[in-house]
Amino acid sequence: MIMSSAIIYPLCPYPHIAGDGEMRDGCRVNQPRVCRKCDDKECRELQPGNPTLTVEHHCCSRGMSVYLIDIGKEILRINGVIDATENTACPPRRRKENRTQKVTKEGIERFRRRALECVESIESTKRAVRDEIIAPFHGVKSACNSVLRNAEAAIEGSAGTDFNQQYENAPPKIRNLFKSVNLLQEHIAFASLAINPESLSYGKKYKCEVYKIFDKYAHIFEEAAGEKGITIVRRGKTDAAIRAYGSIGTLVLVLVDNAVKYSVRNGEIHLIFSDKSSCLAVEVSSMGPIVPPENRERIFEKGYRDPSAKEYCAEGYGLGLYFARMIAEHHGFSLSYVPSPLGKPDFGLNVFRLEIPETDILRNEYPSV
Amino acid sequence: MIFWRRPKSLTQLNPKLEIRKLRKLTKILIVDDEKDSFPIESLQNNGYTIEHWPEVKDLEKLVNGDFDIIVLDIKGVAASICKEDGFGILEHIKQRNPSQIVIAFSGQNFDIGKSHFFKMADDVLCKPALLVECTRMLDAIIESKITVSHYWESICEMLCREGATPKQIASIENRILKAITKGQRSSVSELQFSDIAKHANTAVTCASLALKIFELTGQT
Repeated sequence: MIMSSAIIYPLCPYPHIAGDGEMRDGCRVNQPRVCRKCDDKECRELQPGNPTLTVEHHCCSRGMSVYLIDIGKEILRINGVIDATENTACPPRRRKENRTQKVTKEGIERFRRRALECVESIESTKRAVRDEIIAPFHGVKSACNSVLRNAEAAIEGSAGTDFNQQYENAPPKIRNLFKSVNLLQEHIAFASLAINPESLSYGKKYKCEVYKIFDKYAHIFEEAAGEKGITIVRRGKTDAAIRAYGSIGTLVLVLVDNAVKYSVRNGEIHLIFSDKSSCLAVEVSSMGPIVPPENRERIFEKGYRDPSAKEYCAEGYGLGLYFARMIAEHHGFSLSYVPSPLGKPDFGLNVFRLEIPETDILRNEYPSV
Repeated sequence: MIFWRRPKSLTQLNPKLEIRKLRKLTKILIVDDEKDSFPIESLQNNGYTIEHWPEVKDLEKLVNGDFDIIVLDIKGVAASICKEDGFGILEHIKQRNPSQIVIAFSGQNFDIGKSHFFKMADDVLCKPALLVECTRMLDAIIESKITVSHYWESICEMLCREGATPKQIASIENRILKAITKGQRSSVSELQFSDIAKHANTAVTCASLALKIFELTGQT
């Protein structure tokens, strides 16, 4: 995340150490020679000693002043200056040589106040923009909620003693409506996660059967896949269960959604379950354009879309796989991309492999609810 | 429950009840201003005991253990009582009665500034919620938390916090066990927690939990 305080670095009039540890000139005063040549760079390691102070003055071993300034969420380090009154460690010769580096604590304090105003103003703008995006989103959620309740009510009108039975006995059109609403609800959950990634670990972990989660999304995507003539095939079976947060659904949603999006027409998507003693793996494979070796890790970066993907499908923001891997890692699972080219180097089998270590698998426990 | 010999501790009493019975026994409160957000009717048809408040009516009832599970919407349910709306209510419940099970039910899970409130809840259900999701979550909580052990541990925790001695707690346990063995509900109702607990609300909550223990054991 970009800190709002990053904007302060280019505006700072004094020499300073930026967030990445790099020594920079100020827009009015440059880094002095003594600091450029300094090998110790002890100013980088200095930590505030008194939390009540907003501006803290220190002297380095070369006799130069270092200020630690509290600018909200970060500490800005101003180095290579000489405080007119508080710096008693600077030898007279160095003081004379560095006349241009002379500062006063009042001047530094004035700069801190302005910097803080700047950071606060950016933060409040960010909040306002976020609220503007979020406000209509709440209406979308309420509307979806209403459609969902009606779809469920339509299913409950069918014969059966519980919802699953009623679903099975419901007319195909009602089932399709329910699947569509389900998909809409899943996309809303994904959007919520994208806005607030911390929400991926909200709530408690629940016991869920791996096969059933993938099977659920295969059902949800059946219609979209059918429009492209794609069949979703399940291979292998496992009864293994895991404890997972609700966000695990978003991970599976992304993998199946991507497979449908980037698969060739009239092809097949395979959900392959392999349950071995060391780990449980699920592969989602589909035929389509494959990512060149040099970009295979980059597809998990935020906002990255490989040119091959852009060419094949214009839609997309490069967020799905980023969040999918984030969710996998948060659960202690691994998600990798292991394609196999077929004939041509840029075309073949796209395979996403989710591995769940044995330690996270629940076997022979009570049935899941 | 029929006993040949009185059990030595309440934790030995863990009646295995069917989920249908547990659903009926568990009092669930839904606090939500939106009429259709939570599938109340469908859940009631499935045997759950559910009460619905469109807004927070009685704050005391939320902390006194009147309900086993509170599903609390966090927006538009308590704006007149508390600046933080449902979040403030959640904080209040957890401060006064940490053992109260609260599910934060919201469409605001994307609100970055509210993460700490969501983490305070026992579980989080995001709007829009499917009937099957609600059933899964409620059943999981009911099976793990609506137990004699959980209620008794909650009583012990509250009494310990109020400075009760192990001897006082053992005496209470003994009296509850005696009442259960004899099937005397009135003996549980008459338990004077106020002698041990400094705060009146803790005494009320403990008394309510003790009654729940009695009711659970009387179901088999």
